Amino acid sequence: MNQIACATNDWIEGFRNWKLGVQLALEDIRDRYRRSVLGILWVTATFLLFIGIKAFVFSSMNAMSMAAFTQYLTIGFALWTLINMLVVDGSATLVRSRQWVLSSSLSYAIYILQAVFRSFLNFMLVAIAAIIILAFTKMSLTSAAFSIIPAFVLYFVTGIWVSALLAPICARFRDILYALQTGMRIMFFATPIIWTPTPGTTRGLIALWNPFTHYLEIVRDPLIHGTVPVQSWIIVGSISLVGIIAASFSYTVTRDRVAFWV
Amino acid sequence: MARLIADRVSLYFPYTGKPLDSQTAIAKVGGAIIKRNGRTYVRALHNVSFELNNGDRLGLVGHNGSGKSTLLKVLAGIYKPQEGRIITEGKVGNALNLSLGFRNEATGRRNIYIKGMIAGLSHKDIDSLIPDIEVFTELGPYLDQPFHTYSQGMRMRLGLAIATAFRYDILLLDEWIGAGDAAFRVKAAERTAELAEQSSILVLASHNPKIISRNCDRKITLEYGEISDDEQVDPES
Repeated sequence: MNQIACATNDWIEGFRNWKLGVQLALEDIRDRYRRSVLGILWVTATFLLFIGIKAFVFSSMNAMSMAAFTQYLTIGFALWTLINMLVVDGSATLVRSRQWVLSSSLSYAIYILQAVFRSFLNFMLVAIAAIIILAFTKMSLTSAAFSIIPAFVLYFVTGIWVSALLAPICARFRDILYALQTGMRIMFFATPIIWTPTPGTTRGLIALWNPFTHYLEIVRDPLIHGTVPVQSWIIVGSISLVGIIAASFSYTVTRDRVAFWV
Repeated sequence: MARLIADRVSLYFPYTGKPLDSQTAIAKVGGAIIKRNGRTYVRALHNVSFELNNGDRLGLVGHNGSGKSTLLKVLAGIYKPQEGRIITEGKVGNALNLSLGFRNEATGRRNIYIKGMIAGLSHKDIDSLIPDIEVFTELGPYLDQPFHTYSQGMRMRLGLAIATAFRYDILLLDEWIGAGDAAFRVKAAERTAELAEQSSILVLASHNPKIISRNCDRKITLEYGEISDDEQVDPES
C-alpha cells in the first residue's frame, strides 16, 4: 500500500513540475551544440544529408519512383529517430541522472519526462528537415493525415511507460542498457524503413510480426496512402495497454530501490 | 509547525565484496558489515531515533563514514530505510550537493534560473532573488560568463549563494564550509547562521566543532551508523 502511494506521488509531483522537465531537456540539447555556429540546427542538417545519401543509394533497389521512395524513407527514418531515442535515452535516464537521484529529493518522474521531452525536441528539429523534403517532393495529403495527431500522443505515452518500465531495471542490470542499444540497431534493419515489405515474402513476414512496423504505419500510412491502418492501431493499442499495466506494476515495486541501484 | 522524527531507522546497502566468514565485521571507518537473511549487507545506519521540533538545531558529528551524510539523505527522502520510518512535517530543503545541476556551458545567471526551478520556484520568484545572489557572490560581470570559465572558489560562491537563497521549514546541510578564501569563509559562516535562524529546524553535519557550537543546540555523535552520544550544546556566539 505504502509503495503504491509512493509511486503515485512520484508521478503527481513529476507532472506538476513538467515545465522543469522541459527546461532540463532544452539545456541537454543546447549543451550538445553550444559554441557552434549552426547550433541545434546541426540535428536538422544531419538529417537532410542522411536522407539525401540514402535516397540516392537505396532508391535503385526499390520498385518505387525516386520521389515516392524519398517520401517513404523520410517519414520512416524521422519516426525511427524518435522511437530509438525514446527507448534508448528513456531507459538510460535514471543512470544518467545518478547525481540527481542521490542528492536531491525531486521525483524520478521528472527525469523520465526530461528524457521524453528531449526525444521530442530532437524530433522537432528532424521534423523541420522532413517537412522541407516532403514539400520539395510535392507530397499531397488527405484528411486522413489528421490521424497522426493521436498517433503522436500515443508515442508520448509510449515513451513514458517504456522509460518507467525500463529505466529502473537498467539501473539494476546495466547490461540491459547495452543490449537495448544493440537490439534497437538490429531492429532498424528489421523494420521497413529503408526497404518496402512485399506480402508473401520473408521480408513481408518480418514486417508483419515486427511491432515497430505498426508504430511506423500509424503515421506513415495516413500520410502516404491517405488511409488509417486499423489493424496497426489495434496492435499498438494492445501493446500500450499491456505496457502501461506492466510499467505501473514494475515502477511501484522498484521505485524505492532505485537509489540503492544507480 | 515543522517536525522531523526518525523512528528506529536502519539502513542497509547491498555488499558486493567477498562473502564474510563471521557474522559481523567492523572496520575503523564505515558502517558494520553484517549478515542478514543469509545475505551480506553494509549496515549504514542502525536503530537511529530522535525527534526535532520547531526551533531545534541538530549537529551531526562522527568520523569518516560514520553515517552523517547517509542519515541526511534518509531525512531528505533520498534513501528509504528498510527498517523504521521518517516522519516530516514542513517543506524540506537540502543542500547536500552544492554543484548539483550546474551546467558548464550555461552562464552563471542561467544556472541560477535552472537551480531555482529545481527548488520549485517560479521565474518571478527567481527574478527577485537575483540581486541578493549578485551581491553575495561578488561575481559581477562573470555572472554572464559560462560556468566553465569559473575558478573552484567562484563555483563555490555561486553554489552556496544559490543553495542558501531559498527558504525552507526544515533545512539539511552537509559539510561544505571550509572551502574558499578566508574572507569568503567568514561570509559563508554568517550566511549559514542567518539561514539557520530563518528555518524552523536545522540538521547540520560537520567535522568542525566550531560550526556545530555556533549553529546548534543539540549534538548527536554517530559511530558505525549508531548514535553513540546525544547531548545538549551550549550556544556560543
